[in-house]
Amino acid sequence: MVEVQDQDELRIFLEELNENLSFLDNAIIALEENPTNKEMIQEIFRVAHTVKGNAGFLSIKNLVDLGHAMEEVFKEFEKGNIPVTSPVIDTLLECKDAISAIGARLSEGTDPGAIPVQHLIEKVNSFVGKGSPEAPPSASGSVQMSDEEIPEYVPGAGLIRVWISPNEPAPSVRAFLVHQKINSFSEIIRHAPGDEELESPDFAASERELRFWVHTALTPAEIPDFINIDLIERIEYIEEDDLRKLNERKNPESVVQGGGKQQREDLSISDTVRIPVARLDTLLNLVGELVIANSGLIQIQEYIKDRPELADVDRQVRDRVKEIFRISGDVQELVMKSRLVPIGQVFSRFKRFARDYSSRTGKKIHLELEGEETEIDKKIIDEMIKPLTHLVRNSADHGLEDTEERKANGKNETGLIRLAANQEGNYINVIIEDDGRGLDYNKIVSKAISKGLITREMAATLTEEEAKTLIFSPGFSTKDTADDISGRGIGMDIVKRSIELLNGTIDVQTEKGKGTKITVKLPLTLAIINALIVQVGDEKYSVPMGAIVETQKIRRENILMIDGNEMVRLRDILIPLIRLDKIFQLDISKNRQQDTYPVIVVEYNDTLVGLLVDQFLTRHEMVIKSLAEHYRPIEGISGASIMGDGDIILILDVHGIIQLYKQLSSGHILSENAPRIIVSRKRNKEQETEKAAAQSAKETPSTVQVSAKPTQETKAVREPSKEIEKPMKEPMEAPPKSENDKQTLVDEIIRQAKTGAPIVNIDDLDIQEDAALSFHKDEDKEQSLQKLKEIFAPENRDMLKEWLRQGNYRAIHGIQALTGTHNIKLEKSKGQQITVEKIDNILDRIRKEPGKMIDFSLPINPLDGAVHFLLNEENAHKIVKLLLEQAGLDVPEELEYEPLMEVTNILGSAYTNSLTQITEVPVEPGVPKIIDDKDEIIQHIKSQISGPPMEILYIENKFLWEQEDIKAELLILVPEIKI
Amino acid sequence: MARNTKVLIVDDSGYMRQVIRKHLENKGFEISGEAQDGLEAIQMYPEIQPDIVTMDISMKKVGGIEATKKIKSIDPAAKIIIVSALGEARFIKEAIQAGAHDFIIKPFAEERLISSITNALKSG
Repeated sequence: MVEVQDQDELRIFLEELNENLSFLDNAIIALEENPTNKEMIQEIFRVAHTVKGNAGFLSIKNLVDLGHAMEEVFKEFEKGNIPVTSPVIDTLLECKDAISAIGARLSEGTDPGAIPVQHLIEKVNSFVGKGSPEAPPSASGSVQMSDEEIPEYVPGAGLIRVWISPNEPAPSVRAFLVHQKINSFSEIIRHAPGDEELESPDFAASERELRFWVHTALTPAEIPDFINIDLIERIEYIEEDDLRKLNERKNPESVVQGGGKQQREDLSISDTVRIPVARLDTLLNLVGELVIANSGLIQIQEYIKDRPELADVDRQVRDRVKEIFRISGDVQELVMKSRLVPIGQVFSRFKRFARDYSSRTGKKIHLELEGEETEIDKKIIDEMIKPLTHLVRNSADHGLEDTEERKANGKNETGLIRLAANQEGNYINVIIEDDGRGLDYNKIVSKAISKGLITREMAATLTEEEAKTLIFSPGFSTKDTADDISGRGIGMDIVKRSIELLNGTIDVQTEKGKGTKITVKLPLTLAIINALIVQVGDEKYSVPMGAIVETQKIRRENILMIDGNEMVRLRDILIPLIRLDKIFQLDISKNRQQDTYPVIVVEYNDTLVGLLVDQFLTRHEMVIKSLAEHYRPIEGISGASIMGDGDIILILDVHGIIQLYKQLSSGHILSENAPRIIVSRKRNKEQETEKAAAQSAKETPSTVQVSAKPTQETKAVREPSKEIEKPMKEPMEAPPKSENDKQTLVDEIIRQAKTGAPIVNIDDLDIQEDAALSFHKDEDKEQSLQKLKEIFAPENRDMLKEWLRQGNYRAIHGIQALTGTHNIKLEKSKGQQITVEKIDNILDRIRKEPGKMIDFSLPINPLDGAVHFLLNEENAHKIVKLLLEQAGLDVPEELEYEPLMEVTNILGSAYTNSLTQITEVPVEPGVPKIIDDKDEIIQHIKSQISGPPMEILYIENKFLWEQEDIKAELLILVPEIKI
Repeated sequence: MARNTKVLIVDDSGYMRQVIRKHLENKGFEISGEAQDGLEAIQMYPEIQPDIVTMDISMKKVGGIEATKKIKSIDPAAKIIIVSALGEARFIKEAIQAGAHDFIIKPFAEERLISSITNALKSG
């Protein structure tokens, strides 16, 4: 609150302020018309300057700051450093408005400080290219030189030391003045801080001591009299001799250094700095890593907690862990907050738009802004400019009526567009509202029919709510021609998509004749999403709420097989059902005995799909962390989030999953031109496809496939049902892959072949990690090795079977994922435990095999075991062909082993990972080795079994790929373990 | 000291002139004249022969720097104190080069104005 003792003073101030304001109002707009008028610029600058100067006396801080910011712009205008553009003019007009508001509060006796100006100042500064207004120097900035610090000796010069009072608001100018004064009676050899620092606008509060090495005729006593100015705390003079002696005593070397450099540590910088958003992103990621690193500590703590002798350490570690979590949480929040900027930055653009629009079309528009100070993530603001522009244009173009029409309808002839923002938890609502004609449902529907978006029959059954959503359909526009102001715009479908990409939602409320209100709900920051956490197998995933249309419990009998794909009926339409466990190759042997399944209906780009999960867990607001630095990008995963307990949850990328599904699905269900399958009561010719789909759905309830328990017997799970392939006469083609996709896959195959990185999913990594950790404990190790031994014991055939079953399951899914097709199947898998003697039979057969034999052998670390993947030349060719064809590459005549390396990796790791899961022995595949000479292969295997006794597992797999059989043999050698 | 010390106040803001006048009159200074721009100040200076000039920088017609130069050329012993805002640092320096004795940053406390003038009067 401003304290004004003298009412007269305030009165004069306000009178002058009002004069200045009306001048500013006219002058700023005049400047826009005549941007090169230097006199005008100077005049406005002067007035802004006066406003600021006067405000200072009444301590109206916001007015001072605002005035200052405005001054800066006019200075730049004058210098020609920035052009007079409409955004700047808009901002200046906004500043002027804020000054009016401040004046109004002053005259009514309320606190003028309540008028927010910071956003305006920032905006103004953004034009000037400045971070923040000059910060007033702090009073505590005085730095005294300690006794230990001896000023440098400059031959022939005495030293004048001058301390500027901490009360000086302009130390740099004061320093300049002191320099002038000293210069008037002496010859300055050198001074510190140097010219550069003195000239710098950042020359700051803390640097209060000035040193001048001078030649002077004055006596020490006379010097202060010649620097007779205010705001100087102290003046000292050290004569040349004394200075030299001081230096000799303290630091003999320094005497000879004539021109040392000044130390800069004492120079402070201004209070605020600009930070690129990218750096804040990095910071946020680093915080995430801190949390991850800390969860590593938790694991260590787990390890020591059972050791009584470490109880003390345990407690300390636990405390530290907690503390780090708390601190990293705080940092995270702070970083997030620093990304926020006021939405007014975008809103104010539309003032100008309204002005222009009115003058060009004659439609009178009043633009009302509300909640401009609402803060939102900088990135989101940037992304929202286009969609918001489109929505406001829409309101002006289609919403608001012509003046005549408004008059005729008894409305105020000036149309109102209201732009408002408010915060709701971690979301920001942006409202674009007009008092125009509202949406005309009939018009929308008939337009949709004429554009072929819906049929007349469908239109008849549409509710108003459904009709409303038609405006978001691609290609829908309520105006036929583009006009020169709004152009064709980007279309409401794009608007909606842009908002969804930001994890936001858009809602339209409209009343005919009254107006339309569009509410865009956006997350406060891109780094936070509201998500539904779901369980799939042993994994938890989070699904962004923005992508979720609805959640459903689907009964088993409502899942239909169409065209080899599972579909589910959602009211009147059939939507594809995606099993997340298949997408991510999860083992879901548990949890799948229900009659109903939770399904999340998600939408992307007008495609509705159902995601089948095991369980809905909870809603959670999570901070997104990019995965890329730690893992290779995983398709279908957009990032990860760290839960409060350090757990990492992967965030589903709905779009990616749909893409992945398109690659994996056998039909054309989601291909670009696929019609939406709508089950309608009335049908016509155009709906033959729908008819067939619905028909087949009705006729073939027996094809429902829900038993996902992966056993060798259920190998037919993914086989398209023969019965329903017939009614669907559409050709079965895999969806065309873009060049890009091909290249990515090829790159991936090659990259992985080179690095030997297993393709197997992240869940496998987890298993290894867990196992490796538990392996540190001796008793665990013993137990695991015991299990490894047991698995080969005759009485534990079930365990062995389970191993093979899981291994096969992982292997085929890995290969399906690698090739991007479900057309390859594991037709037959026969596993047997054999003795060392019996291996000769196998080796014999290898020897007799026609043509070349290729052995890809993969060490099983750290057990000195091995997985041999044996193929004859013909089968190797088939696999290479499959891989390259699926990737869209030419198949060379010559057999290439590189693609096969990947298959080896997949098969090898499938079995080793399964072994780890069952026995908890942390084994992992090593780098594959290729031998393509029969004798060498035999010799190699023989040498492996000639050492310590080996358990040998022989698996004969027959894959089926398009009518072709591919035979592959696996020989798994695991040394017998002594415990 | 304040008695019989003549001050010329140069500022384009009537409010500002009022503030400075009030502070100085409180301490017994004599306000010999008020000029609302540099030109007026230059014209008034020889007539009034003030002991101290308080000088604003940005003003219509002739600004404070120009006025300081002119006045110093008329009277090299003139004591001119620049009264300006923080953002004007560059111009204040110019004014100092032009011969201004001291400067005061707006807003200022009464003591600041008085002590600056007192120091100026003391110095040779």
